[in-house]
Amino acid sequence: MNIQKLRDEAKRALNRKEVKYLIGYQKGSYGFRVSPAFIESKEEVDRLIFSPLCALSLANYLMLEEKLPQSEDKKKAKATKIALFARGCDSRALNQIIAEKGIPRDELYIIGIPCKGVIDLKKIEARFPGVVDFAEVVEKNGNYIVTIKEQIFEVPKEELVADTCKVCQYPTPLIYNKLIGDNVEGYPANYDEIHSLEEKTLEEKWDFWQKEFDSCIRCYACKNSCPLCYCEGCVLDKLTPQWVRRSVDSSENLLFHITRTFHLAGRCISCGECERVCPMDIPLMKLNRKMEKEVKELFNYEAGKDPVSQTLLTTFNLEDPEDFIL
Amino acid sequence: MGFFVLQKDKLNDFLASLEEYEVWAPVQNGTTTLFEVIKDFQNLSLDLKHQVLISKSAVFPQTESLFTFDRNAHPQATNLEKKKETIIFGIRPCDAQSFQLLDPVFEGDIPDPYYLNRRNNAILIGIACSEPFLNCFCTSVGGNPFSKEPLDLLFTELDSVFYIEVITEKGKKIIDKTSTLCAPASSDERKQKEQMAHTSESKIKRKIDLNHIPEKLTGIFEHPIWKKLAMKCIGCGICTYTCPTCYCFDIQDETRARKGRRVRVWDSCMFTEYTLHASGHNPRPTRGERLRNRIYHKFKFNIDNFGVVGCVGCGRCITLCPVNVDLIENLSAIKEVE
Amino acid sequence: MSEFEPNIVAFLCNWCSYAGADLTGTTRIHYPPNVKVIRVMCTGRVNPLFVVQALRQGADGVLISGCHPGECHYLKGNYLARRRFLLMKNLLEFIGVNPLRLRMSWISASEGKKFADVITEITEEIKKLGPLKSFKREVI
Repeated sequence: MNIQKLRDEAKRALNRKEVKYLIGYQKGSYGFRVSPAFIESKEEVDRLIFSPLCALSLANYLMLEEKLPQSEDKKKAKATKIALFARGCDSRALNQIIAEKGIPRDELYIIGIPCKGVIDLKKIEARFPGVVDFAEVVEKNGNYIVTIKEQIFEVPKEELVADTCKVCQYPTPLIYNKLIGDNVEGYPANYDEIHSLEEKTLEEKWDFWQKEFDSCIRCYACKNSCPLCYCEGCVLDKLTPQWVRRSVDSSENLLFHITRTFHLAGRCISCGECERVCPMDIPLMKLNRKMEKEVKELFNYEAGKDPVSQTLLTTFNLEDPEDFIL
Repeated sequence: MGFFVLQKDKLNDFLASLEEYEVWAPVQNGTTTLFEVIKDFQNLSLDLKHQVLISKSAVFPQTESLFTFDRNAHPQATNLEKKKETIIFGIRPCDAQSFQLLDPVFEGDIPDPYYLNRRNNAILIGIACSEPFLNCFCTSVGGNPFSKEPLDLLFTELDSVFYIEVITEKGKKIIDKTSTLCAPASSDERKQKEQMAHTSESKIKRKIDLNHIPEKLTGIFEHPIWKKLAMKCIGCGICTYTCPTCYCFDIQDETRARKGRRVRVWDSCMFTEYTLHASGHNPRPTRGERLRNRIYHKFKFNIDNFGVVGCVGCGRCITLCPVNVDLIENLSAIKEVE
Repeated sequence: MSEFEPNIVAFLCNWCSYAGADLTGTTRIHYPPNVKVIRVMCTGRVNPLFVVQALRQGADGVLISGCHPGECHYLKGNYLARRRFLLMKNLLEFIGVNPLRLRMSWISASEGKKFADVITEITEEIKKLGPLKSFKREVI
């Protein structure tokens, strides 16, 4: 993927008078970090980067409450669109949000980027601890070439790539205005780790999840980083009535996560942000991928396939399974 | 007050022998470290790679029951009588400093018995920071990886021993109780520790000059820079929950049928509903105002009210922020503002 | 030693299952008294969180019962509930809660006998499973 082509496309997008601003990636503040970039004018496009370190989901920013202040000339031009970079998972998030009428399609200008997988920050910081200077990573022939100051290291991709990317089915965006880069083949559906947990006994499963939720500090990072968690009056925050108490113990934490997982059933697009941001390393993707597997097997439904499909729980099929019903 | 050494492989014995105390220590939990009352000393973890360790939980727990009530009886305040004295073991000097920042808040006009009960009964045993973390900047806020206040004992990890410095009478009591395991330190060991203290300070990679920031902040309350700095913030609570000096809390009543209890729980100024009024008005409606509030609180209001900067430079907010909102980068940007 | 008597919460839809349960009573058919009925207008109205909260706050089992498919008073509420509760049941099983604690049934207004049979069956099964200890709300 040619970074110059990406920047040129960003420039073209910002030139369009109906585009308010562009959301992309830029270098972070130290080491291996990458930060979101909010660019209003085409002079700033050289800040934009795209590398295996770009692990954020930019689709999340569309639904955060306030938008960038518009410059006067954009306001005059009645700019209504937001341009953004979207990888495969981001594009599915956008499809799902559009299908749910969260944001109209014509308010988006999507620059699609087929993604070969992103690096897990925890893994690379463990491999190269204490790196404060800006580091760069490119992918070449199944390896990551890591450049720190003038030193160059070659690490097999397997060691650093995020676990979510190892089972990604849709790395090439499914919705875009412009596609920059070559098509990337996805992996076939793989739910092996879900199977291994399903095969455990009920007590073992309970003990496993109890231990995980014991360490949850209810920071709400999973909820806030999820592109599909955008309800203004989230049930988990409500005080009248209060479903989840503010006190933090395993039982309340369990309720929090059961509710969030259930509300994401048929909507989660497996970007893996929740697991990436969790400061306590709770394997949240196990829950979400279990629901993904269930909705595929039971209802033949996949989230985010296109922007006009019906959503899972507002529709039904006359032949839905009902062997569990007395 | 005395310098001693403890053989490294005797650390578990040292802590186990203090069974009349309730010992809080870092505990390995999968890939992260929790800070809790330690039951099995095999799980003790001083290798704090992940750095989440929330040491303020020992004096300011995330959930604290204030009192219970029942329709048929008078409210029952939580019994604050502690059955055992507490030892808080394995905190870094920056975390210890944070206790000094929390003290004036909870000791104010109306002293908080819940906090003070835990704090005054606690003996603080710190571990000096010989390998500062990536984003540590304690030296920029008046701290030091080997600082002693307000610890009672300071451990330094040397090659085969822990070098123990006794700082207060409380600390001396602990050494007296474990005298069979500790030996007096030699002058060589003392020299080693001094050398380490010196080297460690030079290992701090990130620095920021905080001079004139409070004055700068006075003038830029309405500046558009706040909106710009907060654009990438997603409003989760990670920075505030892992910050050792953050102390905002909410008080909620939890009831069921005829019974209930009142709890104090951590709250975060980064949540939207933090300043949401019952009328629906929110004086801090956007992330810009909330980020501004956090920076003002730590780098201006704390200085105005208590005379010290309200940050210990532990760097957790920088390391753990999922979207790379970097405090040092933000403070530099503020300094550049006209 | 007294035998364990489970607490079953049943969400019955107003038009079919609640009327069916009424019929069970008027025709004097006996069924275990462990069930506590909550009348809702349609099973489509039952929020899966109700079920989870019921299990956390003292229920050992939950039943959701509505009109047969095609006969919903509001046309499609029961179809939507069918999808929802299958997912919730499987999610609870993945967490470690026995799936036999969340049951659904189609009981029409004339099926008084069926209501009694369903309640009897569920009560027996949950008696065998024992009280739900693990999933309870911890304090208060």
